Amino acid sequence: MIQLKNVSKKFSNNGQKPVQALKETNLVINQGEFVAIVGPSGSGKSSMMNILGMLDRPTSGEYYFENREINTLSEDELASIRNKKIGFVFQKFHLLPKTTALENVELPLLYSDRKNIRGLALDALKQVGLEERATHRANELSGGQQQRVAIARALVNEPEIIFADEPTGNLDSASGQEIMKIFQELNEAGKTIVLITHDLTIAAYAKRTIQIHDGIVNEN
Amino acid sequence: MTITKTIKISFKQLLINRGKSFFAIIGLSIGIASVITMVAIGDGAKEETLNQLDQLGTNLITVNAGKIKSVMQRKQNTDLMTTLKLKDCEVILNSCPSIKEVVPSLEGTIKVKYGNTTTSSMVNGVTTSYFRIKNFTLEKGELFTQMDDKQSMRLAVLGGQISQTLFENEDPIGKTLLIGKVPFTIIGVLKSKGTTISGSNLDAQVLIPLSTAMRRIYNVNYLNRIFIEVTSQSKMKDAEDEIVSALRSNHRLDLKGKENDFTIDNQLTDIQASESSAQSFTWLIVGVSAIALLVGGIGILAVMLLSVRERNSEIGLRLSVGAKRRDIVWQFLVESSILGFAGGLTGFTIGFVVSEIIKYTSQWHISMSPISVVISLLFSIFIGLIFGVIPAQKASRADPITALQKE
Ligand SMILES: Nc1ncnc2c1ncn2[C@@H]1O[C@H](COP(=O)(O)OP(=O)(O)OP(=O)(O)O)[C@@H](O)[C@H]1O
Ligand SMILES: [Mg+2]
Repeated sequence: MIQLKNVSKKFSNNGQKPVQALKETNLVINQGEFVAIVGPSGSGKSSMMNILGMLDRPTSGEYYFENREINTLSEDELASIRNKKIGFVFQKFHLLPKTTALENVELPLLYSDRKNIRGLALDALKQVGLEERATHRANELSGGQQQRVAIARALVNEPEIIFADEPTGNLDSASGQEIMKIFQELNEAGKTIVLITHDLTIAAYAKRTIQIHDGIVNEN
Repeated sequence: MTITKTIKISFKQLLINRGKSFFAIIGLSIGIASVITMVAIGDGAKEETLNQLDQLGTNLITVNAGKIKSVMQRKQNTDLMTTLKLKDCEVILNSCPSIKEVVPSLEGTIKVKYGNTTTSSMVNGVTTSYFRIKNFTLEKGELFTQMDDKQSMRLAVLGGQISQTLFENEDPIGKTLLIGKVPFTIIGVLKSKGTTISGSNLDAQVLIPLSTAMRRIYNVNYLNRIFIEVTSQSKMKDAEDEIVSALRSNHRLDLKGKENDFTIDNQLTDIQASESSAQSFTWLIVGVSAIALLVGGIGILAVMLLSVRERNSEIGLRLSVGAKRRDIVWQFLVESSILGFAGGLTGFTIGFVVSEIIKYTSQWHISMSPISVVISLLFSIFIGLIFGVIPAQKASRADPITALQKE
């Protein structure tokens, strides 16, 4: 489903020494996998996810998503792929404040042409066990609940793959484990999940682990 | 993405940020309010002018002795001429086919006294047709007649205001009024008309028969002016030409190669004068509107720019879940247009209330036209749209990665 061929990412900070966040990376992720990408801070995990999630483009190399090289796609086409095929879960949840859980979940659907937005969003909230909190505002929810709303939002448009960047980073270990169980269930139901973390106990939930060090990928 | 969805999103975001939305529209609201009020005052003044013209009769020409200049919309005699005579009236009436009636007038300001009250008043000697062609109606009593004029009777008709000044609640009819040192009997009081467009107050004058004025009060044999009624409004220009040539030949001005020793003045020039003052008021409104809208627009621009910066992570999030750049552009354009509309609506409400207050606390005529309301609302939306372009572009250029890193 995903294939990176010699993908590099270089950040040329104005004036300063350029940073090579990814070096000649080769990687294949198949449908239905649950992959953890682990590495210390600054090793290039987020850079990798941004490229995989099409929020960013590689400096060099090729990235095939469902056999289409993304450099050949326009920005609008990438936006449309992000909308239909990709779900994101961030460390800081990134819910819209003063907006209800339900409306937060609806967000991706607003940019699709799906009908029955409300119903789909409610279903997604049900999947993460938060249907009772549907009309609560995001800032009235606990951290764990906010992250579940974020997962519901990532799920709502039935994507092929979910990218989660440190999804438990801002949570206590109990809520973190709850979140990880949800990911596990989703994977068992067939979703491809790419988890980014520096925490090995969290990475243990995944079926496959990829190490990254100074932009170099290492698989064991 | 459909426009209804965009409007929904924009509306929601504006409500969430309602404090800021409020600040964004203050400037525009005040601007629109002042424009609405000024237009209402301007339109009211225009209507008032037309009403006055109707009241005064629209086919009147006035021949003034000497030259008359307009200073600040008020007419002033610059040099007195003694060449306008009763004979001129006869000549005009006989030689000008477009003319229906001629009223000679001799006026001056002189002390009048009743009981212990003395005041300086305009005392105007006229023939009895004056009342008809100037559209005066009686409040009480009666008018003097042609016969009274012939016999130089000492009779006076008072304007509404002078009557009030001298008599307050007393009934003036039958009372004796001293004009200068000459006693007059008051036989009538006129209904008030208010100040004319040319600035003279016809309610403050005392009217007496012309011959009485010439012989007993002013003791002169010339006139100040002649009021002339033209057969119809369409004949105004003809009548004016006829009068000029009649007077020039009667005064033998052509022979001596002299300029006119009289000034023709008709309601048409008055209309033009008031139109030109209305025109300058219109320009004032246009100027104020432009400044107000600019200020209002800048208010929206500033708040929107601030908003774009603060909502960077919202924008990043929208992009990450699949919003296209143009969806973001539209969202912010619609947001600023809604702000414009809200500003316009608030401004209209304030303007309406202020106009009503002015209407009930002053003597001004206020007229609010639906068209000006619709135009100002549309314009407000337009202002919001225009001043939203830069913020919308800025918003759409956000980088989702950095936007999502920030908190
Ligand atoms: N936008 C950027 N501009 C310049 N340098 C960047 C940028 N983003 C990342 N980097 C650099 O690239 C390297 C990899 O960063 P990245 O964010 O991918 O690390 P990470 O593994 O996600 O770290 P963490 O665990 O702290 O999130 C770092 O040295 C970082 O400073
Ligand atoms: Mg990171």
